[in-house]
Amino acid sequence: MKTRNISIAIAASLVLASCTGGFEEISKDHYNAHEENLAEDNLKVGAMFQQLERSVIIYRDGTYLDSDYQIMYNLCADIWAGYMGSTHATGNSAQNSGWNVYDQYPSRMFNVKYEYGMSAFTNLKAYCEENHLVIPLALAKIVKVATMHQVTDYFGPIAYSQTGSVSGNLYDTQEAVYKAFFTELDEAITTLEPYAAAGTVALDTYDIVYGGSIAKWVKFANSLRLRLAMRVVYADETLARTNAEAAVANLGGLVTANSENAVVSGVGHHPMYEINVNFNDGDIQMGASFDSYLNGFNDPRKFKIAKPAADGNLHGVRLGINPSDWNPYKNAAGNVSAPNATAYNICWLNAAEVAFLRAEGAIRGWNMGGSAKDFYEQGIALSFEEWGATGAEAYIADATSKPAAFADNVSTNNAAAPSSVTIAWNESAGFEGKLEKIATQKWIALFPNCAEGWAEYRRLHYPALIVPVNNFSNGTVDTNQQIRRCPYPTSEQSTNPDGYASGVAALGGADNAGTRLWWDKKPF
Amino acid sequence: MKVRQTLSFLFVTLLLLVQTLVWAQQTRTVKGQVLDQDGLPLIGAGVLAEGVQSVGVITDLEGNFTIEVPASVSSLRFSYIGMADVVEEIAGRDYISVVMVADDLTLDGVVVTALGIKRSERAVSYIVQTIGSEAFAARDANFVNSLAGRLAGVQVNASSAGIGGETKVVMRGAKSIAGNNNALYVLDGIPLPALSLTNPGDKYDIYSGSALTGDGISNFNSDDIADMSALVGPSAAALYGSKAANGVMMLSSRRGEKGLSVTYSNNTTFLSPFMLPAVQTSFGQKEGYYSSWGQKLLSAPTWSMDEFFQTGYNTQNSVGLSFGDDNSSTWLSAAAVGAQGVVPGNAYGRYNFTAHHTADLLEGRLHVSVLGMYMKVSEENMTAGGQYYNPLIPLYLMSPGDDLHKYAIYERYNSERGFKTQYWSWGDLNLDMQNPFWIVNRNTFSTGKDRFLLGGSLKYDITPWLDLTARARTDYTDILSEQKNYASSLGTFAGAKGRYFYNEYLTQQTYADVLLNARKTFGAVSLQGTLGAAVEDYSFRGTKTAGDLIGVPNLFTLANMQPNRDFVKETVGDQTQSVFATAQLGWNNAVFVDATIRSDWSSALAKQGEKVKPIVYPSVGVSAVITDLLDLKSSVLPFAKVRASYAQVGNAPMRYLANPTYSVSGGIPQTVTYMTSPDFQPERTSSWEFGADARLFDGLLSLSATYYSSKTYNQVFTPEISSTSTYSTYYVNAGRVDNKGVELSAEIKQDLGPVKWTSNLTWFANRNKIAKMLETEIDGQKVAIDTLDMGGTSGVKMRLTTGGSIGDLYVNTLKTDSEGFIWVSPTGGTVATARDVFIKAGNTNPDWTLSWRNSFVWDRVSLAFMINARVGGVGVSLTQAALDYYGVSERSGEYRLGEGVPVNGYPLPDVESYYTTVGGNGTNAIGACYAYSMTNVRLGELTLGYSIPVDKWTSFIKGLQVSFVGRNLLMIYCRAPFDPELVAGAGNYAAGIDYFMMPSTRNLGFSVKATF
Repeated sequence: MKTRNISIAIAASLVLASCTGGFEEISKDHYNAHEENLAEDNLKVGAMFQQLERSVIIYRDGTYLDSDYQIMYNLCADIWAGYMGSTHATGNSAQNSGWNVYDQYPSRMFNVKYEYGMSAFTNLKAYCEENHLVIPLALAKIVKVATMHQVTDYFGPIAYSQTGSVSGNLYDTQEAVYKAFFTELDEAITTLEPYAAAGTVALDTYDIVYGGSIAKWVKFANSLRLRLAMRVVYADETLARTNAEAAVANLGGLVTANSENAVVSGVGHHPMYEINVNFNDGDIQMGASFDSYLNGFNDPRKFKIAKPAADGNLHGVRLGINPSDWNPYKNAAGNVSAPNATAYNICWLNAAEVAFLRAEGAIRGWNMGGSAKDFYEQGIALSFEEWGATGAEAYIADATSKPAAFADNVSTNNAAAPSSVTIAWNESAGFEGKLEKIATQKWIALFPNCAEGWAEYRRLHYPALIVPVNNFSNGTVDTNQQIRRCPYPTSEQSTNPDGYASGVAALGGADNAGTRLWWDKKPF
Repeated sequence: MKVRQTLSFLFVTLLLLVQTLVWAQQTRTVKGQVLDQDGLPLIGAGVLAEGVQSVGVITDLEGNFTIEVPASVSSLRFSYIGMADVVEEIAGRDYISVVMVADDLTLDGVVVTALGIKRSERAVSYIVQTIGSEAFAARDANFVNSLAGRLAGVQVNASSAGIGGETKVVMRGAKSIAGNNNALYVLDGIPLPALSLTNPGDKYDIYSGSALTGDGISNFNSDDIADMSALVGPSAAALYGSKAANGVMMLSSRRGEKGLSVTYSNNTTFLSPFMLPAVQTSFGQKEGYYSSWGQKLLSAPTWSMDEFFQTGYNTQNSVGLSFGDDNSSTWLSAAAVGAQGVVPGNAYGRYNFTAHHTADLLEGRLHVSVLGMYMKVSEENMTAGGQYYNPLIPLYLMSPGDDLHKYAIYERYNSERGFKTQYWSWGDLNLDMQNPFWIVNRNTFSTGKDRFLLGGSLKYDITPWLDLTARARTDYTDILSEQKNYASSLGTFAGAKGRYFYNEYLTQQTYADVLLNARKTFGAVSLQGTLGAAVEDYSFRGTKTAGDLIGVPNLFTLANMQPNRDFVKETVGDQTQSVFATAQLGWNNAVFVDATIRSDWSSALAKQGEKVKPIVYPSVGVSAVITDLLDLKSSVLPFAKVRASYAQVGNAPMRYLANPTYSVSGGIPQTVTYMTSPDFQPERTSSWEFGADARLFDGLLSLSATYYSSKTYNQVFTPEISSTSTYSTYYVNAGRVDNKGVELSAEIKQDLGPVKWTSNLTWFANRNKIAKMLETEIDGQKVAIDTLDMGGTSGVKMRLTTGGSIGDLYVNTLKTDSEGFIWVSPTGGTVATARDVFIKAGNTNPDWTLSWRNSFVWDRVSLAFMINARVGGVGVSLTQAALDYYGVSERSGEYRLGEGVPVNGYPLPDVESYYTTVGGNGTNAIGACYAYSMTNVRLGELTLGYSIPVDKWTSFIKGLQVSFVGRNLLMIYCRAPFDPELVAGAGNYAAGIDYFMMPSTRNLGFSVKATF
């Protein structure tokens, strides 16, 4: 009896065990793509490339949400660059806008760039190297630099030459990271140049920026090289000049027309729309500094960028406020200006920025292929064109308008005008005078590319920004010097202790928001 | 397909095998049945041919026997331990029915154990608690709520989602950190799908709590359930293998009875809020503020909170038709439930249709059963609490100086837009507030469910001691839920034209098994065994669509939605194939040894290119009736049994981890974001239990005690890994959660003159301990987690720590000075928060629970009541914090009328400053100031029935019973400002934090039951 039972059990289990062959099919998530799907339609390259592109400035793409943009850009670079004012009514956000950086916000920058950007690049690189695919790898290198330079510009030293180990990765100095950027861009440009000249199109169905036009990608790569070159000018002028002049001299050319701007297509609304319209009736509004400059200059782009408040004017919000009642700052109250976000693009780099970069190179005496004045005025005109604003000529000629004092439309957090810079070019102004004009106009033209706006403010100290009402940084940030960087994500201390230690060592200062980065060397 | 073939192959093989065992002899065959004095079958009774000792059989699970006796034998002897032997003359009969009478009071019941296998109660080595259908007398739309307090070792908590909402049923403590802890429901031996849309491991957050739906078990009509038994421990549930860790609630479906009877019952209860917050009525608003920190009111408030609530009701009508003869029986029933909750807009409806037919064919050797059920459920606005779509936030926080009535016309014509828009001028006040009447009328959630359950079983008695059973069931549910947020709702909830959610979920579970059951007695030794195989296939498909409307305001159609609306489709498929065996060896019907083994092959563990390894779950147990064994029987101690058992069981493995795939967003496959540890395993629980059951003083007192200890290994952790790895999540097994506890129950049956009195006492204490958290190595890098926050707010956290317990609450505190006194600013007389300092406030689970049930039957009158006590446990009320912050709580008024808030023994005159600091707008409250003891004692249930002697007047009606029923009648003791027994949902971390949970209800009503 018992032996029979056992033999039946064994027989039954053998029979059953043999029919678990179908389990592999059942155990897969059929809602997702499988390895074999990726072999189809060049997805193995195209999908990874597009993911890498989407990581440069994230938006609601099905993976990330507008709220991710909110915490990694809007509540960081956007407000610290003076563009926006945080009206996200939590204690954490109020503290954060007064430079007591809330770990979870900049952490998202760190996480997204590695988990979305570097992850896609790593996959793509392995596949391209295995299959000797030259063009996609070169294109991917350019996009990788575009996405990762934001990370080093936020934090400083980062894991770059070494990534991918689950147990953690050591950080490189910011100098090494920037040098790697230049090398990678140089390699990519060299690889792509002949294809650009031949009018080759690659990855056209996947490329959401240039539709696969290699010629445009080379222009973008040269322009990006110029941007990064200028960034390191106070740390290593030779490195800066060499790369800037190489970028300008390259036969592939630079982004010089708005039609060549690196704009992501198919985005729907810019994340700022959702953040202002749908998040708690206005989690973000225009900032006090932007208010001061746009109003003071009587800038025709003013109501392209911002929506008028109920009184028809542009009213910003100062940082570092913590009112007990946030309702007066919300859309319904009509006291402050909301971003006119339906007009915004996800733009990585525009022609106006390139013109201003060349203007700066020109005043430094570098060979930029033109005069500072021309580039400066071109930059303004290109920006007007981009926003669809008229009256650029009168604006360029305006030698009297100055930034206005900030008048709080809700409370009494007023501030004096941060600067007395004017618009019209003045050849007799000194180097700093010219630099301030270029930096100020570039700052306006960069919006809403806030990561770049904040980095350039830190590099040049221009335009002068209105300081937060409260400096909540517990003494780590000097009120006059303003916030210099984001502290590393606290999770790195536990999950990547060696990497974190190497980062702090390379940083050369405390891991707080007041420590200056390697390229941040301009004396105060 | 392959599986079905395999099963039929197995079936045929088994049939062939057993054919050879059937023998034929030239003897006389006598059949019959052995019953006890209550007409219940006696299983395992010995039937001996008088005078021929070698010929004997024992009765089966229905008390039936078939004995072949030599022609010379003239009488049969029936024996059963604890009963007087009966000798019955055969006298030419071939069917003999025998009633045996107890010669003592012993444990003689039959219990339903795992897979529906019936066992003699004395023989089981673990505790099985049975519940009769009378438990459902005080009807609740979800009948599981009626089980609260009736079972030792089980914690039953109704969710605050109202009628038909999920019920959290946890047996012997939470075992899993990230997985499911809720009991498995089983109908007639076959597992039911949970059908819960809640993810049990989700962290606590303050926002969720709306758009809820009931779980699968709430769909049933309790009239279709004949009885239930609770297999609270892993030993009892072991035969369910990878589903057994959380214990099992076994339901038996009602069958028809011999003859014809029709039952009609109506049960109507009325619901009112059981506990509402205490508010002040003295102070009004400051100009332009919603809060009540203004001047003293000159006149009494013109409104009160309870005006918002409506009287809820729950009406259930059911008709049951039972008919049958000796060979077949049929149960047909139909029921309708119509209910509305106390919060306006909350409604529930259900229709149930059931047919259950059983028949004995082929001269009683083939037993056929067919069960079909259809359930149709509708739910409106099922909200448990939380910040989103919660009308209680603006209601509770409304100033006594304001007037609720003026918001009652919640929408007004907007000439600019040409339709009515929300009337609300306060903004969201950072609490996502809207007009409370708007919320319940214009942010609507409705869910409809259609569920079909079809099953059948065939049992063939191959020989009197051997039968083969084959069962199959399919259970299909279609859930459609819609949410409509009208234009002019808060921007978070809807765009300018409105927002629409359209979600559909299809679930199908198909189960089939074959069991070969054998029972045989060899002299003093009895053997009962089962051998079987089962396959369970589960598929789930969810299609979710959500987005803002674009063109026409409030036209909730897909065509009117934003083109880039969110589409989500989830598909899930699982299959588990199992083989199992049980064996029970009895000696003299006094000592029993029990063993089970089950082997599961789970598709969730299938890895690309590898053979799936089985996971084996064993159990062993022993029980001894010591009064029989040691001959200790006396009138003081007629019966005593001791039992011990050990089992290893599992929890369902997480799916898809073995085979990473590329999720697709915007048409583009994305890189895999998680890694799984190469040796990933499902959770495993090993458990011991020891217990004793005794009857004392001629059966006056029955006692049962169980001690258990379980250890649950392979907890799932997803430690944070460095983003520089390019991955976000890592799945790894580690850690151990231990539970140990004691379950006691006592019953007294005593006649008090003509009154029959029964009193039951149930006591349960569980201690949960997180013995180990994560400590492992990933790629050579040590990874350890000894603290993990499972959600909360800036002031209270659900925190798991090594050495702590699941359910621990940590809170922040007020700043203190060096002497430990609360720091008060020397100038302003204000207090401050101690930032980022968290202390343990306690655990949400009770130290122990006690319930005491009494029933008195006197002639035609019956009275029953139940008192439930829960002692220990801590909860945090963020509702109270918000009430304080807004200056509407009763105490914020009293302190203003007095000298101020007492701090360090002295009154602090600035009450506003104090409460706006500690109350922190609710969500930023200082947790330590809002921790409450959850100890409470209540009159949980009261029923008073009268059986009207209709037979005096008519023979048409056989019985008419009218009852008064009440639940949650009286809170005898409670110091918390909310009902501590309410939970926000059935998830692991849904208990212990009250954030505007809907109030629990006091239910009062009547029922009428007529039998024709």
